[in-house]
Formats: sequence, structure tokens, C-alpha cells
Amino acid sequence: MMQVVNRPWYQGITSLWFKEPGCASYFIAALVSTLLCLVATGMDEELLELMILFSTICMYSAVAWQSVKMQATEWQVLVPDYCKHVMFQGKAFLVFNNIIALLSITIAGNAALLTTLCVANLLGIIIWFLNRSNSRLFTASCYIFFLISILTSVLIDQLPLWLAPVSTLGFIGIVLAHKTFTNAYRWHSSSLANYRQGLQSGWSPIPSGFLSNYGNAINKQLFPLSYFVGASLSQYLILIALFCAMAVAANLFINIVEHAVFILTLLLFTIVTLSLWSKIQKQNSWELLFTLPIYNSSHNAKVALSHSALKLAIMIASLFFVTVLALVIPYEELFIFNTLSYALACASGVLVSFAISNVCKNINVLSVFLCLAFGFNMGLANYIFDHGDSLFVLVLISLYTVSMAGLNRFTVRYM
Amino acid sequence: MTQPLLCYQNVCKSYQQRQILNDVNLEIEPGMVVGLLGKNGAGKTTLLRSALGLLTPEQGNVYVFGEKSDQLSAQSKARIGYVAQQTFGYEGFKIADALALHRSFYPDWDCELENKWLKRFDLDPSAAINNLSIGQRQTLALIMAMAYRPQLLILDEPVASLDPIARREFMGDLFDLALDSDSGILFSSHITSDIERVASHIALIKDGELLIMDELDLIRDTVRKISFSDSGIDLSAYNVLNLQKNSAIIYGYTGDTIPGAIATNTLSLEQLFVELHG
Repeated sequence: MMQVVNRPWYQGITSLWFKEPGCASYFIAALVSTLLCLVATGMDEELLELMILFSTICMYSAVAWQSVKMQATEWQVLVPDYCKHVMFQGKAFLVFNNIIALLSITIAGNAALLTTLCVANLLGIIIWFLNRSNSRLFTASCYIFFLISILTSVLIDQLPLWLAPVSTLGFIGIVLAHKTFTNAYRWHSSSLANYRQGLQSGWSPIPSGFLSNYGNAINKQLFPLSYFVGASLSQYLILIALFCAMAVAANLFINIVEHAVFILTLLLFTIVTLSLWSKIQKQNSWELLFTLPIYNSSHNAKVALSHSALKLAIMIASLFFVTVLALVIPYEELFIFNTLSYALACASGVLVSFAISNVCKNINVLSVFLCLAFGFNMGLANYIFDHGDSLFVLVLISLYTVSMAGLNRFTVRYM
Repeated sequence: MTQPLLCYQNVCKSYQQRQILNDVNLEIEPGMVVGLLGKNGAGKTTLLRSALGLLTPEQGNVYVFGEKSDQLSAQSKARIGYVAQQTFGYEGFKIADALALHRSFYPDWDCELENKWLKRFDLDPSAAINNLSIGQRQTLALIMAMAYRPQLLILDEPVASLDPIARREFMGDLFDLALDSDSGILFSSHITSDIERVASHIALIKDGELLIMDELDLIRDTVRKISFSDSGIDLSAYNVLNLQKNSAIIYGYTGDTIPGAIATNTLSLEQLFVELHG
């Protein structure tokens, strides 16, 4: 009856970090990008910098997510060492991430990237420690720090060296002083609601009422897609349109074509990935949709869903075509083939992601494939913008887009 | 004199300017199975959470095994079992994996008891927790809270989602556990028949105040509904729980004739609950 407790540190690691959707979405992305750091050593230095920043902040976000879950779990306070056990695993992953990043920096032979790693660790620990006692800050803190890291990577060629000691000191200061300010992992009545809301909103950084008056018409046009994704679909689209307008305006004063296209692509595929990921989390079920007096059969509803995804892709393609055209015209560089091909690549990326979400019913499988699709779509869209300057590429990408539209229409039956 | 397992002393707690608990005094001793009865929002969950140190009272103290509930030692924590109203915490796990991890924190885990309950409640160890029904999740939470035979068991509506057979069986086990291990159990429920079946004591809470805390049999014997036509009836010899225009619920009835009473009726626990909140 009695047994001696002999618990290895890794017990429960798969279920805690890989199988829980909230954590897995950050953790898997962190693991993949950590390993990509090694791959990036033989490629672009900017890519390595971005990977170091992204992987480190993602890993801290996964640990921060476990902190949110810990605050939502009432019984954990009573289970001796449960919190310590889970957090030890988190710390082990953070050490692993840092070792791989250091190894990559050593292989790349660029000591200046140590500054990037130090800054990434500082941003990461702020996310984690903020969320150890304030679960409601998770989404906001993650997005702010991800944005900072991406902007840093895109806009600044090389971080100043003095940031390395400053970040390290800041890191040490936070570690040493945190107990004075926070009561870590303590249960709070709102934490479970924050956890569930976060899980279902796809970590949307947009407040629920944001621009809701303007989004109704869009949501109506994109029904039933908007039924599954929620009001955030129109909010995201308005956000993208606002970004496009701001980029075009800023571009009149300073040439930011390449940066704007990169961030626009990143924004689009991030939003698509988040929306699809949150779609599977939604409680809104097909059964509820069928009870509405709209569709005659499940087949009709599924076809309508594929049509609304196609409408979304067309909207994206049109918006991106006009935006990129407006971006390049002031510099008298009318790359009509590049612009058209780029817009189609973005539209096809949206359709690929939707086809994946049609087929994958398991959240973990979906997360993995969406991550892969995200990388592929980003790479393709940016490559096409840089190199798609011929009619041949335009024809190829057009054919690809049509086939992806067909794939989306075909796979909708598996939903 | 035995030390109470759980002791509330003049506990007050408010939330957003609303009094949730008002001067609550309650003691749980070994062998006691206390059913906590009250309407939604009466303060049951707050009372239970205060015992775990999840909430700190603004006034008064809560002691568990003689220690303040918000400063419990690891040894004391290991002697408490708790099932929350919303079962949560092992998302992403399979039942067997969750039990293996949970078991590893408790040296006194009773594997036989775990297996017995898994079989009895038809839980497949290879099933994913995410795919379990609410009732199955609740059953698993109960197994996790009870398999190490805690000395103090705190259950927040533990059987609300179970089917009647599972509820009956579980309640039987709960009572056996208290007898075998000399544990104290405090559980909240809306289902008065369940409380009547297993509870040795009843704690009735209304608007944050503990109206009654006594042995079930004593409550049955001494609570009466008195009907009268003259509102000037003298009930000062009794504890009046609820006074209406033509009736009152009294506590402490000894069998004497009450001058002015038209009728003196006994009440089941459910009737008492309804009358008090009517």
C-alpha cells in the first residue's frame, strides 16, 4: 500500500508542455525556433538574431503560461512540490534554449549577438515574472514584448554593446528583487477565467469591443467563418487595413517598403494562425450552426465555410495588392509582377492554412502544422516579393493559388 | 480534549463591499462529516477556500491542524484533500499519467483504493482528461483527493455532476473513509438527500451567516415549523431561524406545547432549506 516517492524531474513533461494547447502553442514554437538557431548560423545573421529573440521570448512565454495555469489551479497550493516540479521543468527548458543560442552564436562567430541574447532574456523574464502574479497580463505582455523583439530585429542592424551588461544587471535585479513585489503562483479567483479566455481568444491582443461597430458588415460578409473565429475576425482585418494605411503614409517620408512588406506578411500569417488555432478552441459547434435556419444540410454549411474563406483570401489579396502598389509607386519602382505575385502568395497562404485547419481535428497536430505552414507562407510570400519579377512566376503562383482554393474547397468535407 | 482538524473563529470576509462571510464560527473534529448547505452565493465556496488559505479573512482566523490556514506547513498540506467546484489542472494528461504524477507527491498513496475507484466508476486509465465528461472529471478529482486518505477532506459540491448511482456509491465511500481513517470531512452540496444520507452534522449558511451547525439528528428533532394566527406569539425560548407573518422556523424545540401555536410540524432537511430561503 505504501510506496516510496521517487519522482524523476521529467515526469509529466509531455503532457504538461506538449499536450496542453495553451502552453504547446508557445512551447513548440520555442523548441522549433531554438533548433532553427543552429540552422540559421549558416545563413543570414539577421535571421539568427530574430531566431534568438523569438525562441527565447517564446520559451519564457510558455513558462509564463504555466504560471497562469498554476494560478488557476486551486488544489496546487495543497500538493507539496507540485509547483516546484513544473517550474523546474520550465527552468530546464530555459537553460536548454540559452545553451543552444550560445552554441549558435559561437558557431556564427559573432559575439555581438550576445547582446541580443541578453536583451531577449531580460524581456522574457519580465513576461514570466509579470505573469507569476498577474494572469490577466499574459496576452498584453506577450504581444508587447514580441512586438519589441520583432521591431528591434527588423529596424536595428546591431544592438549597441552596452545593452548586454545593462540587460544582465536588469535580469539579476528582477530575479533577486521579485519576492519583495510579488506573491508568485498564488491562486486568484479570476485566473481560471483568464486562462479560459486566453485559450479561446487565440491570445488576441485586441479588446473585445474594439471597432465592433465597423466590423459587423465584414462579419456578415464572412459568415460562417466569422461565426467560428468570432468578432475578432473583422477587428483583425480592420487592424491590417489600418497598418496598411499607416505604412503607406510613413513610406511617403522614408523608404520602408521592404520592412513594411515583411511586417505586413508577418501580421497577416500571425493573425490567420491565431484565428484558426482559436477556431478549434471555440465552444461554438457545428451542431449549433445547424440548428440555425440557414443551411439545409451539413454539406451546405461546409461549402459556405469554404466560400467565406475564399472571400477572405480575395479581400486580403486585393488589400495587399493596392497597399504594396501604393508603397512602391512613390519610388517609381512599379513592380507589377512582384506586387501581383506577392498578393497571390499571401492569398494562397491563407487558403493553405484554412485547408490545414479543415483536416486537423487534434489541437496538437493542428499547432504543429500551422507552425510549419506559417514558416512556409512567410518564406514564400517574402521570396516572391523579392524575386517574382517575371510573368512565369506570376503564372506559377496563380496556378498555385487556384490549386490551394481547390484544396480548401475539397478538404472542407473532412471538418 | 481533541484538537479540531479545522477551526473557524469569528471569520468575516467581504468582496467588492459585499459581506460574504459574517462572523462564522465552526469546528470540524475527527470523525465528523459536515454537510454545508446554502443557496448559490451564500458563501459556501468562500468558507471552504478560506480553510485552504486561498482566501484570507479580513477578520477572525482559520486554523487547520492548529496552524493558520494561510501559513500551512507542507506536512499539514499533505494531510488535506480538496476537490474544487470546477475541476481543473491536468489538461493534456491521460488519466494514468495524471494519477502517476499526482501519486508521486504523496508517499501514503493507496494504490488499491485508486484502482478500486477507477474500476467502480468505470474510468479508463488510457483516456485523455480533455475528453472526459464533467462527471468523470469530478470522479477523477475525488480519487486524487481521497486516495492518500487525508485527515481533512474539503469538497466543494463534489457530486453535483455525478449520476445518482455514482453519487450514492461515492457518498458511501466518503462516510467509510471518515470512519476508517478518523478523518474530518466538510462538503458543500445542494442535494439535501445526499447530505442526509452521509452527514453526521449539518452547517446551514445563509447570506454569509452560519444559521445552524449541529448534529443532523438533533436538527431533525429540534427544528419545527410553528404556525400561528397571532403575531404576538412568544417564541423567546427558542432560536428563531425565520419569522414570517403567520409562521416561524424555530430551533431548540423540546416537545413542550407552545401557547398560541396552531400547528407544530417537523421538517425534512429540504423543507427546512426551502422554508429558510422562502
